[in-house]
Amino acid sequence: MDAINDKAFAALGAYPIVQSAVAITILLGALYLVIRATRDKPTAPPPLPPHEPVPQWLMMGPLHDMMQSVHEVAEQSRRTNDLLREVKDVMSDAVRETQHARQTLELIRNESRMR
Amino acid sequence: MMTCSLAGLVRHFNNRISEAAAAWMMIGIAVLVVTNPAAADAHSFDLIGVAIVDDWLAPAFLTVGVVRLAALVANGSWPLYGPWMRAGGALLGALIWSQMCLSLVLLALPSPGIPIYAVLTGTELFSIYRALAGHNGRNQR
Repeated sequence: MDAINDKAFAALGAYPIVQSAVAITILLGALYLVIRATRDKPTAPPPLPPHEPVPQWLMMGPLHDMMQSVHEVAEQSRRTNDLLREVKDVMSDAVRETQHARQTLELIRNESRMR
Repeated sequence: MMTCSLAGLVRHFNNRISEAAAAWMMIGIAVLVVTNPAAADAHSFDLIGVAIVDDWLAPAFLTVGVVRLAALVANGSWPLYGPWMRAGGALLGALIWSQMCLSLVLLALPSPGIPIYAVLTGTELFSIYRALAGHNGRNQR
């Protein structure tokens, strides 16, 4: 078997036939790929899923900001209510003081008339 | 613009890193043959020696490697010729690797280099398609 192989390889000399065959195969393969490449259209990026035009995670940031703003508005409203309640109490005290002062003045006036 | 960071290299070479690797292999082989001329006697170069004499082996590898690397680095700036240069470089690479593979098959059969050169040949052929697929003459990367 080795002798046959030796004879076969010896017949090829410096392997010019095999060498040329491989080179021609590579060239033909390259030619085929060039033709395929020039025919094929440019590859487009993959489209988004049809039922989800905007990815869900994209909404998480704005939604979180909005919830934080709602909390801030509620806190401001609570503080405003507290201030209004304090203002109401002060006004009630002022009315009470005014009534007391009026009664005092009326008493003074009556006293002065009796004399 | 290419930046010399790992992320910048990945961004620039994108899916062309195999072509850059092949170009560096050719430059490396040229440097090896220049620094140690005995490397030209390796079985891998026996069949290439039929077409290229030993003295021209290193310049040939260096030229092909540098031209391929230049085409890859400047890719995008040469939208018209860049892809064709890349395809031409890949074709030369496929021819070189296939001949080296054939050398090992015929002259040094139980060699671990055989599958390596075979895969390199296939990768180079695929690079030809990748360089030209979707090429519309502008903004091609």
